Amino acid sequence: MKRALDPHLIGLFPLAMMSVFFLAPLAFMVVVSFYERDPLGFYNVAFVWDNYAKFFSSFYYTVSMRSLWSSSLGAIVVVLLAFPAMYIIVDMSRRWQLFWVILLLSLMCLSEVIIGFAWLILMSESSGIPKFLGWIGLWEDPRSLSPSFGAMLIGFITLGFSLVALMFYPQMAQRDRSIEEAALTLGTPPLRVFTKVVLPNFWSAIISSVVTMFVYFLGVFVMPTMLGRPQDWNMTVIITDKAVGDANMPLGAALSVIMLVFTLIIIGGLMLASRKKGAAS
Amino acid sequence: MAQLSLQNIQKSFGSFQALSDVSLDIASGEFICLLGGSGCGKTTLLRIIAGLEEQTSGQMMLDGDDLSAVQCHKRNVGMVFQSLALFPHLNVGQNIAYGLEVRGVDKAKRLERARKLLDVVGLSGFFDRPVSALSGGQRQRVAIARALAIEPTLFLMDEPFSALDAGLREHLQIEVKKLQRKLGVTTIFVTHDQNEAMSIADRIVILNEGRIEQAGTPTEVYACPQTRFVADFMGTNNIFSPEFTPGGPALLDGTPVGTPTGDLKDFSGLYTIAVRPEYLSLKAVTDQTRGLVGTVGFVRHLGASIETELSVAERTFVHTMVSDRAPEFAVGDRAEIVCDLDHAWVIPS
Repeated sequence: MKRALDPHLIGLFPLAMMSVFFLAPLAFMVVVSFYERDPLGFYNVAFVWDNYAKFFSSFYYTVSMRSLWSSSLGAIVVVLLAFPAMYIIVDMSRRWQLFWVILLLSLMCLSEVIIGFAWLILMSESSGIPKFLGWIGLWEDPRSLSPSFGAMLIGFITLGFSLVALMFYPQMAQRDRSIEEAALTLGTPPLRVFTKVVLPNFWSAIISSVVTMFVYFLGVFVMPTMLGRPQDWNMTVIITDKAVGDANMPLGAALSVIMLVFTLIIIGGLMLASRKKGAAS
Repeated sequence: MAQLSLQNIQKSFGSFQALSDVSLDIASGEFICLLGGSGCGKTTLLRIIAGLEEQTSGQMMLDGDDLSAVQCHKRNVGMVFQSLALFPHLNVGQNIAYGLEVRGVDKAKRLERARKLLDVVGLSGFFDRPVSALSGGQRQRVAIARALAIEPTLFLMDEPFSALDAGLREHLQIEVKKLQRKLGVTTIFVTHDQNEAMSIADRIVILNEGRIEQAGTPTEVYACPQTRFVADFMGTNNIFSPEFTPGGPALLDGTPVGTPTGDLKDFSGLYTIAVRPEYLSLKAVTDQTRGLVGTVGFVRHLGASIETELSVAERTFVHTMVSDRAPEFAVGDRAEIVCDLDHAWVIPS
């Protein structure tokens, strides 16, 4: 009995630590969200709903919707790009597979700031893509492509692509290819094999990746501030601005709690939909 | 039903020659087994017929039309894969109806056909089950039903029973054979198991290193092996090269091993022959023994028979007898080996 318990006890330690280090700040954030802002200090202990009431002003509501939109769009686009890319990579020779995996791992090593700066330079009017397009005559009046929503989205994709691609890699490399061959012999045209057999079999992995990227992009701070316009900024930027810039910790905490609730509802909904689809098929 | 003709099929993967000059005619409704060891090219040949691989050279004609020019998804072949390759996202009925759905068959008709095939393979009532909830044998039947649902021109099976236990394997072999006879579909079955091939094939094609060693009925390849490889591969054989003298005993290294009275009695000189273990007899060694004497190295019961392995210098002889009595010799005993050369088969040099 003692021997059977040991591994659980070992596993309980990091679990307990994670819980403490996640739940304690979360509880603190929830408590602070009901406090009052002290213009001369940090906050005053109180129990007010004012911080939550402010969310329902059009500004915060718009920012929230924008955050959900940019994160969802970024997550869907990055999965749409990474999934077929990895589908092609896993059928390459071992040498090329290794090359791509190393390249993707190297991309993951780059910090958000470096990626942001790289895109800033590439999209700048004076030394990047616009200048090149102007030089070859495709753009008469080249202008900087950033800051813009598109530039921010490209930043998101660069950040998430390697992560998503590597998430798909083991499952895709080990997939039973004879299932696709069976679909072919049963009369499925080669291009339809992808939609009829490959995609449905990876449906749960695709949903998990979309959810992971959605949550990841919701919390991204550097890309919106570097590549996006102020009207493209997400809630993370606004929360940081309120909590750090305006020293309004209670409002920042309330906005964070609301975003957390929103995120949990969306993830729950997606997981439920995925499970229902799985059960139906 | 279809007649398939393969002419000089070659396939190479880089410098590796997987198939060399494979020529074979398969008649309508015939049940062919491609038999051989690992890497002999049997699965490659099946995949070429299915259109999953392209031959490097050679012609493949189906009912007089060039099959090589037809894309895999248009060949109308039903294939059962070694891994079965059932679609995990579809239930049993949907798996079987898949090929018909792709062909645009009306939903009611395809579901009716799926149910009918489930009846045929003995799985009525399993229509809505997920494939993950099926046993190995049930999955096997679903894979067969799925391949047959499209009424294939050719029915291909790639070692479908290799992962099953012996009892279930034998049961399914009989079922598949019965089903094939009933439907009359031209069938090509890949296996490495000679017993399996013997039990279900109309004709066995034995492949070795990408070449056809011999093609013939199970009796032909068993009783009259054309090459040493076939003699070795098709069950146990005692292969040796005695010297024949017309009317006299055959001598192995100067020792008599038996006297032919049939076809071999007028032979003269050295011939390589194959003698099945059941045509060997063992006698107790006495002072008068002048024949081939071996030492028993191993005795094993195989249910219906008892197998005795004897060594004579560097050679090994295998003898079998029906197990209706106790083994006559034990490990370490010496026995005289007498071959019934009227049942020996000369292997062409």
